[in-house]
Amino acid sequence: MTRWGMVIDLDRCSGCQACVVACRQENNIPVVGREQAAMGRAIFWMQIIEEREGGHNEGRTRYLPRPCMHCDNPPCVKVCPVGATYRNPEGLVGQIYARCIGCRYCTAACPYTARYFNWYEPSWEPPREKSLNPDVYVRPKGVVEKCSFCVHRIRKAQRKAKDENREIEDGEVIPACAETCPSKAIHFGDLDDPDSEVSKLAGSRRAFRLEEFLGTDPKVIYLREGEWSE
Amino acid sequence: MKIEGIPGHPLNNGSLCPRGQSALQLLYHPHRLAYPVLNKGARGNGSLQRMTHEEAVGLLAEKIGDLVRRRQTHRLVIVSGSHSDTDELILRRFCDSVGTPNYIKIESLGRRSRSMAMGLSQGIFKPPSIDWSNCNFVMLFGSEPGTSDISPMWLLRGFGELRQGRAGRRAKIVHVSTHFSPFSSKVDDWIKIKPGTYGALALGIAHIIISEEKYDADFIEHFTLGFEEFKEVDGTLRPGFKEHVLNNYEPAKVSSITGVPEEVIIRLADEFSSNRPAVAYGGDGPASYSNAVSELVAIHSLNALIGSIDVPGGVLIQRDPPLRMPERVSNNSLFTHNLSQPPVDDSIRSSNLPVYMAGSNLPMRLSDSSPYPVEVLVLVDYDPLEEAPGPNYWREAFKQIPFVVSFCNFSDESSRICDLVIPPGTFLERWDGKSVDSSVGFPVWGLSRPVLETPLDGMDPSSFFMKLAKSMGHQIAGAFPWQSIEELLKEIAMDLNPSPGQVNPWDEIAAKGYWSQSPYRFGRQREVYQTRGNRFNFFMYSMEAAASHLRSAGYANLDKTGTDLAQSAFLPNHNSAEFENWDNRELFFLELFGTTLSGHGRHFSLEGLRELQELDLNKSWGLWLLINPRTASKLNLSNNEIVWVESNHGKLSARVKKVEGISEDSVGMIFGQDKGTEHSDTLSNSAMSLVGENISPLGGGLCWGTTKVRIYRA
Repeated sequence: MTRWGMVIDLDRCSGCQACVVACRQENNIPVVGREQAAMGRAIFWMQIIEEREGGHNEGRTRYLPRPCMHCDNPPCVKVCPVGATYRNPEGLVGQIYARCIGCRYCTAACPYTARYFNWYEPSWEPPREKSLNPDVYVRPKGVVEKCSFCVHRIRKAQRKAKDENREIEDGEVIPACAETCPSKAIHFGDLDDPDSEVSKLAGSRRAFRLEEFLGTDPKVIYLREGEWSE
Repeated sequence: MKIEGIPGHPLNNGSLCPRGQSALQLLYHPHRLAYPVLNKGARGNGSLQRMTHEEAVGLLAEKIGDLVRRRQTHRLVIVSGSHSDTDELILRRFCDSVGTPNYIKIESLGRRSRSMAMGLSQGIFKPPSIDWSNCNFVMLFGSEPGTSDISPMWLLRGFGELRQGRAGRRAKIVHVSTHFSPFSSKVDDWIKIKPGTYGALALGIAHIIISEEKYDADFIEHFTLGFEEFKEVDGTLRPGFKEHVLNNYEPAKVSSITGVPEEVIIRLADEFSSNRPAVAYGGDGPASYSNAVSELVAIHSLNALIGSIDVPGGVLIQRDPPLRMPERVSNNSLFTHNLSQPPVDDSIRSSNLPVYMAGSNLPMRLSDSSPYPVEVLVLVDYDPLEEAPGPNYWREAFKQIPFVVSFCNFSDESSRICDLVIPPGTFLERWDGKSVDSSVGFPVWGLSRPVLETPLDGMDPSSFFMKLAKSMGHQIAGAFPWQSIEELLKEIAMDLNPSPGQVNPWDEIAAKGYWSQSPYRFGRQREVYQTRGNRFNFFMYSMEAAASHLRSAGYANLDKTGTDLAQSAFLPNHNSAEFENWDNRELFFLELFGTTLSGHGRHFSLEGLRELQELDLNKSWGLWLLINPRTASKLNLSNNEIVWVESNHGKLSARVKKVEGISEDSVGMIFGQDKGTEHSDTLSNSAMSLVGENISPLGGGLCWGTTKVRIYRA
């Protein structure tokens, strides 16, 4: 069985935020505007988060692109009272919008702050609706949403492979963030396939995962910055 | 509709930068103008009359036709900020055929100085290209990959390649800059430097490399001119770079100029010379000061010193595709008189000298009617009230000009006080052909075509001016024999070789979206050095020629070094940068910089980009002033507080954000933040409005880093 995972090479990442813009465009994420953004209501399925080590001038500020970690042991699933969020056999943590009651337990439980609540009915002033991606649902007011690992792209690739009577190939599924990344820092694939690119990269001695001590078993693996002398 | 890069494209290889990803927001923006609008009555307050594009063509034809009849066509000025090569060709051709010397191209910030530095030393008037994927050591002097006017895609790709593009080889990246930015945290070594002293650091590094004889003697001997002192045939003694640097740029002195510790200068010299191929690359930082060109030349001289030019992993030149460009309009008798008029920006344009000198301020000259009054001003994709320094001069200029037209897709600061506003549509609705900017080195020509039908299809500036020309009588119409822009592009692309197995280049280009001819050809000395002796000119003959030309034209100073230039002035030098109110310690250096989201701020009005947090700030939306926490505490300012930022040229209000990376004697602002927000007639919210029109005499680039500002609570 496939177990989808992502590897983000921080040594390649320049912090340009192309992944953030591509994700918003791909997944029909509305612009909330100046006032709502100031209240922390802007939605980012992919966001660059900051981690500081030492002072600003002496130490290093690390910028991490943060999608949903699609944990193998997801705390968000455990707290959902209505079964609106779940982990599927491919390891994807999904969200059933029609079942979500908007209690936001999952948002509070997620240690990666990857979940967002829709405070308003999404709206796109005409003709903005023409730029919506028809492959992705628009989420209604009152539900929680998050990165899906571009599941619609996974399904499309799987359907194509099935039609052609073959197995899906490594590198065939490319989420929007990985596709646009100018410095090719984001990799995606099957962590259970020992020959896949992500499996090999995940074995790097630069690899680490966020908040591993929590036991969430995230499937987003980061590669820390290298040293010149390596 | 979805925008993606083209897999296999030499520049983007299927990827896009954040601004490219946002282009759909531009296409489907609800506030886009859908048709031309004529302002009937007082500008800014009159009633607006909707027009068709044909009517707009007719109206402009009438205005320009009147100038033709009176033989006053030099009173037509076209100022273009368009990035389209086709617009450049058509607008210049239109001006030539009508008979006005006043086609004025607004180039990206810093570009002119970067081109000039390459021009003086190598005779190639383009910014350098770099072979990133083979480089082992990179020193970026005030340059960040995501913010440059050069393709950010190419620079961001290069960043990834340098780091993990080759198994077992990871290049070191050194970032020298005046403030610690998010990019500074991504590099291996960040070096803080005082404003306006980049060139001194480069020459300090050169001093160590020369004194320790770590330079590439073979390259110096075969590919450079002026390293050692030499005598001309007529006996004139020319100073050598070697002695010049050894005598003037010892590390202790350089350290006191730049603020970079001596041991760091020595370490950089050691690492740079012993980890080849290595490259020194100057960006927006040095280009923003009054000594821009000489600083950039000094930085580039490091590449010559270690032989990093025209070699794998070094500096390349960007070659152009073999396009069949239409011959220039031969001046017909009717308009010779007008073409002989001086250009309104008082620039000296010479084909055989590296001189472009906007001797005095264009908006001031327009408002003074000097050297003659302008009757029709056409702005193409340029909003001077938002983008240019000194917007108040432009407001005055507008008042003096009877008819002002703006080609813009949104109602912007300038178009609100224009007579006629014409929406030209986006790049997704037009034909265009473009040679890639300095990047991969080998020639690439990209073709864009309309991807959807809209009412604005075919109304881009190129199509508009071609229609206009055709409506203006046979002499002008004769210069535009093509039926459409597509037909013109087909003609231009005629000589591009098709790939093996293909017959027709056009069909292939139209299907693929681009033409390229890789790999880069190394070892063509005559192409790489188009200078005296076909060598890298440490002694810059063309600078000497430019100096004498400028002096004879009445301009005394070259990079403000003084009137009596010694021979050594034509070697790479560090000249002190000039700042307004330099001595006033109560004022702060204003550092204006771009980010990957803002670029140089031109299209930063898209909400989708403004909602993203700037990494420098951790803030989205709004106009922010970056200030060092210690400075803020001295001024008793706290985060989010609104302050006035005031220079000699204007003032605006912004919110305070304390940022450690900014020096205590500086404050920072981001280009284009809050662009598109409506504000009062007299106050701008563009940080550029604080900047004076300081032009670097050599090169003519705008020096946007010379301003100092006062900060006080609003």
